[in-house]
Amino acid sequence: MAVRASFENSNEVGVFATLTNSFALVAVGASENFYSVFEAELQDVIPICRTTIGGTRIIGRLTAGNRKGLLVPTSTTDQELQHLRNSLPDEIKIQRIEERLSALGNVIVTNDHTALVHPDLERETEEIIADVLGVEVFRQTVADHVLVGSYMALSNSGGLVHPKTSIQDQDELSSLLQIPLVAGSVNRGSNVIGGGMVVNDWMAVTGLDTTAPELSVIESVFRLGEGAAPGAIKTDMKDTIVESFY
Amino acid sequence: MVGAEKDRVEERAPRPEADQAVDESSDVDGDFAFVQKLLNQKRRAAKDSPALRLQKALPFVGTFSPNIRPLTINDLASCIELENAALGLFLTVVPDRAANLGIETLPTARAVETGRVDGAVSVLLAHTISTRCRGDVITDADMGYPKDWQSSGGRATGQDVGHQEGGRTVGVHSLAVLPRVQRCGIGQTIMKAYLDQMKNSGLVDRVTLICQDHLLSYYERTGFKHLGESKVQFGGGGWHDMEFIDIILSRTQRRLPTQISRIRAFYTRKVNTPRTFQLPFAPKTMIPNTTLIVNHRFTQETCSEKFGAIVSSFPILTDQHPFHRDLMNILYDADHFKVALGQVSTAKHLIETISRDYVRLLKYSQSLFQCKQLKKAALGRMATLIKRLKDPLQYLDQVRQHLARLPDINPTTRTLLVSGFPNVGKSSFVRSVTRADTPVEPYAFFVGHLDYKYTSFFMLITNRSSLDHPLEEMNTIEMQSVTALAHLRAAVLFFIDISEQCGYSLKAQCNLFKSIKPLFANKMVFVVLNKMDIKTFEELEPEMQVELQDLTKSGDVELLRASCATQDGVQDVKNLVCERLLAERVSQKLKAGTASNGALGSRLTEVMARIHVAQPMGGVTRETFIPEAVKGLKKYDKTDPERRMLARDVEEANGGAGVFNVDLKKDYLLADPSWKYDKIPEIYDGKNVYDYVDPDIESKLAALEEEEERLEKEGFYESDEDLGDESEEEILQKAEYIREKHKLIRNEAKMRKSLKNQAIIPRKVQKKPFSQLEDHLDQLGVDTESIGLRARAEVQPTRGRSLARSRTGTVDPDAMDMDHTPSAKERLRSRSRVRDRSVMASNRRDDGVTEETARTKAERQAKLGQRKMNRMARQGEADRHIGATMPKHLFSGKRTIGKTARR
Repeated sequence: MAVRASFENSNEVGVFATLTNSFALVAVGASENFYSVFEAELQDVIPICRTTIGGTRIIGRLTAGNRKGLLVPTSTTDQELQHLRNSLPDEIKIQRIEERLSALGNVIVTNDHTALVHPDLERETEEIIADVLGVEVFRQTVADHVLVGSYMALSNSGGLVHPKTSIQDQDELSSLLQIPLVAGSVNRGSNVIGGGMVVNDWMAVTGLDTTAPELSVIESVFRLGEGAAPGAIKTDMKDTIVESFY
Repeated sequence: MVGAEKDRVEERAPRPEADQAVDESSDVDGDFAFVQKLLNQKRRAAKDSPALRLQKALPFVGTFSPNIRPLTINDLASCIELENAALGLFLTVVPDRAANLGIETLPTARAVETGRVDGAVSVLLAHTISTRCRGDVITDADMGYPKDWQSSGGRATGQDVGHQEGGRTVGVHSLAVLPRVQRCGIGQTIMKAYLDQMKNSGLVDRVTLICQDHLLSYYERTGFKHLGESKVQFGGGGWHDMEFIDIILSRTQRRLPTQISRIRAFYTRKVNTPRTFQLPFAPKTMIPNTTLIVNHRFTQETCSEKFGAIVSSFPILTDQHPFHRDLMNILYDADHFKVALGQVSTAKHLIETISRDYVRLLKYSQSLFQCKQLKKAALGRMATLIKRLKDPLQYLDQVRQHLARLPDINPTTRTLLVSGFPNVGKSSFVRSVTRADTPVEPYAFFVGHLDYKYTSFFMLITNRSSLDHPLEEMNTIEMQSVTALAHLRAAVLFFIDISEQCGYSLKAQCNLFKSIKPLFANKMVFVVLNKMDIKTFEELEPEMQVELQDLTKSGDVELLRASCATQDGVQDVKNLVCERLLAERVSQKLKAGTASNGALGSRLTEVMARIHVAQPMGGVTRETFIPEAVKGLKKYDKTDPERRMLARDVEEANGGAGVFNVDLKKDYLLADPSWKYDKIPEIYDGKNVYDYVDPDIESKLAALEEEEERLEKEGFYESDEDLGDESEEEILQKAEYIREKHKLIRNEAKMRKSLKNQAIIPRKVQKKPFSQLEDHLDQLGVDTESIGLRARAEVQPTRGRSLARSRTGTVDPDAMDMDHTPSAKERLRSRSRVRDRSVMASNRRDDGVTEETARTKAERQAKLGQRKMNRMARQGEADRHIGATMPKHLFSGKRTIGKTARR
């Protein structure tokens, strides 16, 4: 199930939301429209929490999390931390990290098994990630970009990476993560995948500008919806992709 | 004088179009204008001025400073109240100060902003409302509104009724002023503001309105020009068309110079710079700010500029895609188009030449009259040139309007071309594969879209046009339209009505296909046998079957079957055609992106990387964590009345975005739900509370309590009981005392050290009263009696005269000192007496004067002597100071005599 949405006329859904298998964080907006997009799909399934991080709304870029835990940057205030703690179930660990690269969403991309992080992340942070999120941590780049969180989106069933990632890099990352990967774009050709969409194991939210071929690639690689499988990209959708992107 | 007056009369009356090439209004005699002005002033002075009337109407308003702003949908109620809109004139009124006038309670009043202290309200005093229209004057259609305005959601529905977004004429429908403030010049104010806004917007060429005849002069004063009776029948007719005349020429240019050199310069400027031309026809060009309006003023430069803009804003045919080029050729006739543009361009050059020539002549002219004549001739010639451009400009304007309404056809995109005889089911096919309405458009083809495999396809349907009859029967234009279609990279769907219900025999349909087939070379061609529900292929006569089969013989044509009525096969046809077209295009692209040696181009490599699915080498399968609740979740449907209540619905029910405040604490997951709204201080006792929050505090407390219990059990505390006996208690008391003493000493020393803005006085010099010493010693437990005695003995009074005033002891020594005037004897005695303390010898006031009268006289004299001194502000007799006579700072300004402040 992939839905299109926009946060106050911005396509960058991944900037204003964080989505995992056990909770969702949504920025506090002027209206409830964006929140309700998540609510329509996730109500009574997982908790959805409206929050700010350090008084800002770019929570998707500042936080990183998975089913087991949530990492927030130092800029998070005590009150915000308390709010998150109260809103999320106790099984989910919440950890505030003292890290120079404070936009954690940009430097960490994770599913419930593996996390890829920015090569310059501190050693201590790496350990905290492994402890709190319960994942293996690898320092990696995506298509020569160090901001792995910005340029890729991950779930337990698949991953979408920067459209200019070479086939070798895709294979390497795929064997690291043990999930199928596809290079693609969101929001009518935007390569900032992490900023343009959020995804978990059963749903994805992308920007309103995302085209139909882009959305179909997303649905296939993340196995959203009945019978969607990454293999379709190679076969059924080949013509569509060549036609729309060449 | 008479001539000039006549000239003026003529100017007012609407002249026939042809005579208006040159406007002579600027040459009105200066004297006449002056007299007119005086007369007007007198007339105005006799009546109440609008400002005065306004003052009377709104006495509570100090300075009338209304706010003019575009109207919004929120102002609708105000507008309706005012008239029984585009710009509104608002006045801010404070209810208390406008007492008893009732204006603040008008239904048009609305609060300026919420929470303004004085409760000021904004009152709509006047508004104008207008729409854009396509014609030169307002018509009945412009005043209507689309009947489906509610269902179309405010979108333009392609009707020619109501507001026309592309129109370059503004039709003013209403100018309304609150009755209380009518005849106060507010109507003029808002009209001027509106015209100003329109002029600056660059979106419109002219402003028109219709009015009844008693209002003609009113609008003429605002600058509108009467065009005659209007054709509008709205409200019973009797309307007049008015049109706004823009006046650029400023009054300063109307003054006539006297010296011949200045006269020459003046008229040279006139040839080159602003003059009034009245174009016989007003072309609306494609560039928004090009305004060639009847009665608009032009310069030679602006003429050239406008014409240049017209020429450059039209597309150059040779630069266009062959499809567009042929299309324009068919629609507008390329030769005609080019000639028209050529004429405009030539006129531009000619005007430049004329201006150059006449400026040269003007330089040598001798008199005012000669200058005037030359100017007249130059402008006349320019005007004639422009007049001659009438036809090409008219034609170009039509082209412009038509071009703007052409459907947007991208000749390189995926396109399906649907053709065939009329009534063979082309449009019903389109209807069933897209959601488009019946294609009835005044163009050679209709454009629709359909989606297949996430990509959209263009549908071009040739209706009522060229592809509907055999090639040899086509006229030139139809032929060209076919060739235009031949430029498209499209798949062709040729529809054949197998039932022959369309009125054409199968034979004829086959023949048509055969005749136009050559045009579809290099294209995929599909013959769709439609209306299979009426007659199947197998029911046809064998020879017809053969005939149809023959169509596919060449190999590049396929025969498909469908029935639009029962929808049988329609989707199959669509899918097959789209699939084939897509595959064809992709193979072409792949071919184009691959070099001859088989290497992929860089762009294609990138695309191929996007098709690649990187699969892990194997082994581990990553399990997913999808909650069970997801599977049972009903899909959210916006239209379902039983749908889940979302935050959006709650918000809508509580006043909408911006009003509704979301409760962030509602969804807290706490052990006790009543804790949700507990107030927790952020800062307590100057400390951040969260710094002291410890998740393990309960366990730590429990551990402490346990330890305490253990110690108690072990008797750890009991052994302490017998520690204290009496002696120890005394020691403790003393120690306490000593500590307190130390503290006091420390404090005292500290007090001493802190200077508090005082000098440090050495201990030696410090005065210490004896009592202090005594106290101190007492405290220390020393007997002070002997010291006290000694000290008192040392301060025994000196022997000598008694301090008491009275030796005789008649006066109480403790009595208060009192001044008394001594007698003469006493005075003398006091002088002779030895003094051990200073006593004033005498009262100086009384010195040297014998009696009271003499003294007052002396005092008067002294005052008199000081009078001059005081008057001159002298400090004393010796003060001979002379101050600065001309202070520099007051005389160094640009004014010749002092500063403004000095005067």
